[in-house]
Amino acid sequence: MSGTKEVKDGVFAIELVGVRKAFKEVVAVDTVNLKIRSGEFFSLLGPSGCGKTTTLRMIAGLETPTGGTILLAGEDVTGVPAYHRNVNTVFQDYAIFPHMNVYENIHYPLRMRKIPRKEAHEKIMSVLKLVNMDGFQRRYSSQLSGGQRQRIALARALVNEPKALLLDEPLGALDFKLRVAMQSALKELQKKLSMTFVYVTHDQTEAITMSDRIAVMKGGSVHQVGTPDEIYNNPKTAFVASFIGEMNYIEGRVVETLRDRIGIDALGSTMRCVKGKYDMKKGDGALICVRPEKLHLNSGKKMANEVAAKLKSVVFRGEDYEVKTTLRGVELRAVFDHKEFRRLGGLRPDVKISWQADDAIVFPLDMKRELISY
Amino acid sequence: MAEDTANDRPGGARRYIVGMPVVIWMLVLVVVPVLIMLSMSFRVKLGPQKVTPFSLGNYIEFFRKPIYWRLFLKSLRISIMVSVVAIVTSYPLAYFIARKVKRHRNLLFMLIITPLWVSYLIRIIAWRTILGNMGLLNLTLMKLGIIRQPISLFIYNQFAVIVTLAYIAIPFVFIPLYTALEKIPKNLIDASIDLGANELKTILRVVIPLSSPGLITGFMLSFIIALGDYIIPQQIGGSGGMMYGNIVWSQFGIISNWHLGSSLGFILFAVAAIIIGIVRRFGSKEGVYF
Repeated sequence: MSGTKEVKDGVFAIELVGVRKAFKEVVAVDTVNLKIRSGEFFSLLGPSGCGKTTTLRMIAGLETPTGGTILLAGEDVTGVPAYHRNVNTVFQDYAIFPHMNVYENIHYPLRMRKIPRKEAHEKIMSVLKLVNMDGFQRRYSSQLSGGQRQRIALARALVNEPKALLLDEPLGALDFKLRVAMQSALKELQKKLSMTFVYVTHDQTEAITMSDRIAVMKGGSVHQVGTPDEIYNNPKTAFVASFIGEMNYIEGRVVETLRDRIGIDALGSTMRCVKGKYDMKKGDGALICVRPEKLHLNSGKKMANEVAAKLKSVVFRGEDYEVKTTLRGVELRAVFDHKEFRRLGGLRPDVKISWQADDAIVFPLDMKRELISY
Repeated sequence: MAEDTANDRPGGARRYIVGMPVVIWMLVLVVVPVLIMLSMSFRVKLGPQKVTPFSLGNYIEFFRKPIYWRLFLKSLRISIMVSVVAIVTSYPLAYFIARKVKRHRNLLFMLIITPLWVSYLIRIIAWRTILGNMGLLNLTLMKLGIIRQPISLFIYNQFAVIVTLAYIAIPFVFIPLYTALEKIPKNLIDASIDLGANELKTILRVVIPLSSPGLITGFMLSFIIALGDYIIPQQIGGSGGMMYGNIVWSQFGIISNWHLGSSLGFILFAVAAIIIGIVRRFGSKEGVYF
């Protein structure tokens, strides 16, 4: 993506090599390797407990890795404490000092750097303007709304012009509309400053909207690193497939394998799919994953996979329609926008569901354990 | 109110009856004795069984005789020193237990509170054995070869009074300090470190200011405990360590001038009440931060 560049000599802004973190017997982060480019908006995405916050804290220097190395701009900072690292964090609940007003809060990091008063004043005013909080200098944390506190936390973290900004689920406490507004504001800010952002979130929509690249994590490991497009359309593991966007799952057994095609016995007939990254042989259990928007309903076109299902429900979701059908106990969900739905016309109890061969992703069946389900 | 049913809470008369025992207790054991003393303080004793009618004579005596008000100022001074010592020793302890210890926190907390179960007088006498001529301190110093003869400078003076009073005050200072320190959210410490402050700077600029409610409460408790104490000066104060409480006490002893004693006691009471009032009004920021 444009706007990102690697520092000369292939040096990355932030690099994690074999980083591990264990708390007594619990391994929170298990051998993580990441290369984050300068100026990149990089997200760590995953469910609670996947190790993303611990990883972020290790980059910040607030936790020491049990093993591995952390490099900032090529320099080994693994043993360097947080107050000597040139990265700053925006915390989940903002962590504004309640005994200082806004001006003093932002002044704090400048004081630690012993920046002279005049210069500090200019920096404070300029960063306040940057986050649109000019005029709030004398206010205290208790006099600010959540969104305002968030911007002050941002200003405070940016005032020392760090090499990278680390954000730990900063939008979690905000209501929906405000969150969406802040997402674009943060993205614009990041582009404007050309600063490396490392963003931790469990909200996949957020990650997909804002990031240049995403690292999807679970159970302390990174399952996949890629652009939002790659993560969405080419998930490497069943977990990634299930965590991002919505997904239909069909279990079956491999009946034949050709050069790049694979035939799977499922739902009473043979599904024709594209071979995935996994080496699968005849007789192996298989998990077919299809995105709801890739399913066609009563389509006139001939497709590689067609099944007859029973209509279960139609739900209007505001932006789209969700049509649920069942076949042999398996639920297949399809999604249509307003135009597509109108074209479907009246729906009868018996419907034909179809999809193209390359619209499905195949995983080994034992990856079923990893699936995120609620 | 229409909504008040008999099931919600005791209405009317029943509410008063439930509160009665406490009210009677407070009246009999606190309010009435204090009122009796107050009325006594306004009568000057002229001789055995002879008192004047209402007069401010006792109070005027306090300001007239230097021994009274000088000793009072001395007690104020000693109380401040005691409180400073108590806070300076309790703070690192409270900080360590509140923020650094994870597992045995309750045990450590109990260890600090447990001495309160031992009799006050016995704990004071224990200090005699520490500070005295053949006491722990002297014996240790002699064993280490630092001195050859025991020093009698540790006991029966102001130093001994301050040390012992501080010792007594420490559990009372520790508790509010611990409570205040424990409430400070960890992310504020993280933020301070992340923004460039090492641990010491974080303590000075973030932890101490945010624990100020505890500091104020602790200081106040220690001050009040020390101000009126007379047992410690009696036991180990000698002549140099005498405090205001001693002369109040002596009015109820041999001198047998309960009237003067009451007035001197009330002056102490009034000053303490004013200090508590001012601190609570302007000083304590309990609940402001968290």
